[in-house]
Amino acid sequence: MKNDKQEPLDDMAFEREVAMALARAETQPPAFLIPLELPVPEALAHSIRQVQKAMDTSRSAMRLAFGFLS
Amino acid sequence: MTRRAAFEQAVLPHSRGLYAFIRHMNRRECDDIYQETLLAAWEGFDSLKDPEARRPWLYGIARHKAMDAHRRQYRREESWPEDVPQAGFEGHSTLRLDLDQALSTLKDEDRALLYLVFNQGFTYKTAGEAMGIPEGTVKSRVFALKKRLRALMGEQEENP
Repeated sequence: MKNDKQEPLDDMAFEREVAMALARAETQPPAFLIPLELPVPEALAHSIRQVQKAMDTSRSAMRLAFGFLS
Repeated sequence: MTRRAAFEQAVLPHSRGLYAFIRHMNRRECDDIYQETLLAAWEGFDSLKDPEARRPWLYGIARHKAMDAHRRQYRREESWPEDVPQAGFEGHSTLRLDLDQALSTLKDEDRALLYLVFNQGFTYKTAGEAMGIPEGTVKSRVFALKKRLRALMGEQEENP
């Protein structure tokens, strides 16, 4: 590991050497496909929101019930 | 401009650097983390108004995803230099080889931090935003890392 043959580099040169070593991780990234956005009718979106709200309420009720039991 | 076009224009030019950053953070699952990062960026794209904040925000997502992946993985040392194509070392100076070895001893996050500052031109402030640490910590960590690398290469003594 010891590097006897070379003079210590100045700070800028050393940073450049580090950058060059780190740059070898650079390569073409895999393709990213942006997800398709499917249009959701407002009635369906409203239904989904209602179901989510009901689930949240049930979850809170369950938590409360378990709180009383324990 | 459509949302899709705006996203492509704003985010995809950073994809190469982002992918390299992720490779430094977590080489084993870099492809999955990259996809998760861009998906999260796509979903949260509307919340980002300031173009200046875009890069640290994007790299911050990548860091979170890489940390999540780390938690899922077995705890074992990354074999970073062994994974680098060995042909890349041919013709390089002794210093380069030693530097690679020294870099491989750093923690993944520290190597990624150096990549942001030295390769991607992040300021200490924006690097801190991306890495979730204060600006002053970035500054002192970069200084300490350089000192450590030099010490590992036998250029100077590393003080405790």
